[in-house]
Amino acid sequence: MNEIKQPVSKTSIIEKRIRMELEAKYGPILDRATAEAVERRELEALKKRQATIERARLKLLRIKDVARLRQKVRREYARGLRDCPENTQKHEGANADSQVKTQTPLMEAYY
Amino acid sequence: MSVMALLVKPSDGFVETPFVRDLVERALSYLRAGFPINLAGPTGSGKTTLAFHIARQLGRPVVLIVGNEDVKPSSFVGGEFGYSRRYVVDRFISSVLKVEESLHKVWFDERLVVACRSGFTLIYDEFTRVKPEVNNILLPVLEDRMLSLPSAVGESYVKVHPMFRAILTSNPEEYAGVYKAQDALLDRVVTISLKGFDEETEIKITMARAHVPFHTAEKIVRIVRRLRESGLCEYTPTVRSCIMMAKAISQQGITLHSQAFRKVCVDILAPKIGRGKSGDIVAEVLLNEVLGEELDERD
Repeated sequence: MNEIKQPVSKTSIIEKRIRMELEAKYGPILDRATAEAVERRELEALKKRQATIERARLKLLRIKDVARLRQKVRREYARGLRDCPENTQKHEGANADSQVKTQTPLMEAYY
Repeated sequence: MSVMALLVKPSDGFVETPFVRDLVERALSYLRAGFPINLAGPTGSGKTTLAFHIARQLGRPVVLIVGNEDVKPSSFVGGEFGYSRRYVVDRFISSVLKVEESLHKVWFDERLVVACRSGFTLIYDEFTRVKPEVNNILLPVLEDRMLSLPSAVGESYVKVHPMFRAILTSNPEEYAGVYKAQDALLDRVVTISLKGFDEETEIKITMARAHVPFHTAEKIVRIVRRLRESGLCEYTPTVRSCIMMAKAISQQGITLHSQAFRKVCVDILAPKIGRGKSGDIVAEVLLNEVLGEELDERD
């Protein structure tokens, strides 16, 4: 039985060869739908990575802010301790490093 | 808990006569030379009021210590009172829980330390009512200008401020409830004896305190002074008796020649003359005599 051979166009042979060369060089050539899907996935992944980086950046800023705030609180607290009236009653000896002198309260008295 | 200093001012009832001025000038001259003074005199001789007046002339705030049996060295320098508790929970990092808890006694300065440190004037009223050994704490303050503190405090000494001055007052030894002052303390102070005010001062004090006219004040003061000078009183009546009598008759609108005035005199003065049955008789006779003479003088 004779097989009917389909005529092979010259253009399709060239296209085939070019495709093979390109695939050998750059990997399989995808159709448009697959390529778009791959591109979408990559974009999603990129966005996710960017979001993660942004979150990390904000967290770092918050930590820095909190650290600054804590330092401020510590400073205020130390100042409060120094200025606290009961500390003015402490002595200026070796055991007292955070005290300051304040004025003794005065009361009027008549004789 | 902190020591409060006094800003002393004269009241309307304070009078200044040449007698008082002379006394104050004498006292101030010693104080300005750096010596502490001791105003010694019987009850009602105006020791405390004079001490306040002298202190006012020095122009520094005043710290007052009133002597009594319960005064201890800690009443002068202070001590550890109460507890201070500090509880800190640090949760900065959520996975780490750091807890700090500390509990310690708190030291408070008392009046002598505050006065020495700040250069205030110390008025130590009735110091002979305090046990002599307690007063020993004053010796280095008055002599070496150095106050020694208990070792637990942290600093051992307080250097006495150059403006610090001390005015002591005391009753004579024969008074009840007083101790004999130690020689070491008496040696360091200039003792000014107060024997009571002169007549002019007593009249002015009575007028100022009781708001009575001169004539009334003069009669009352003379009655009291005559009783005092009679030497028959068990307890010497002072200017306080004059003020009491003057206030009593002023408030009740009693005249000097009324029976009510005699009753006021008996109520206030008779207990000073004597107690018991014999005391009552002496009081009656003496009061009758004095009142008769004093009140008849006007007529």
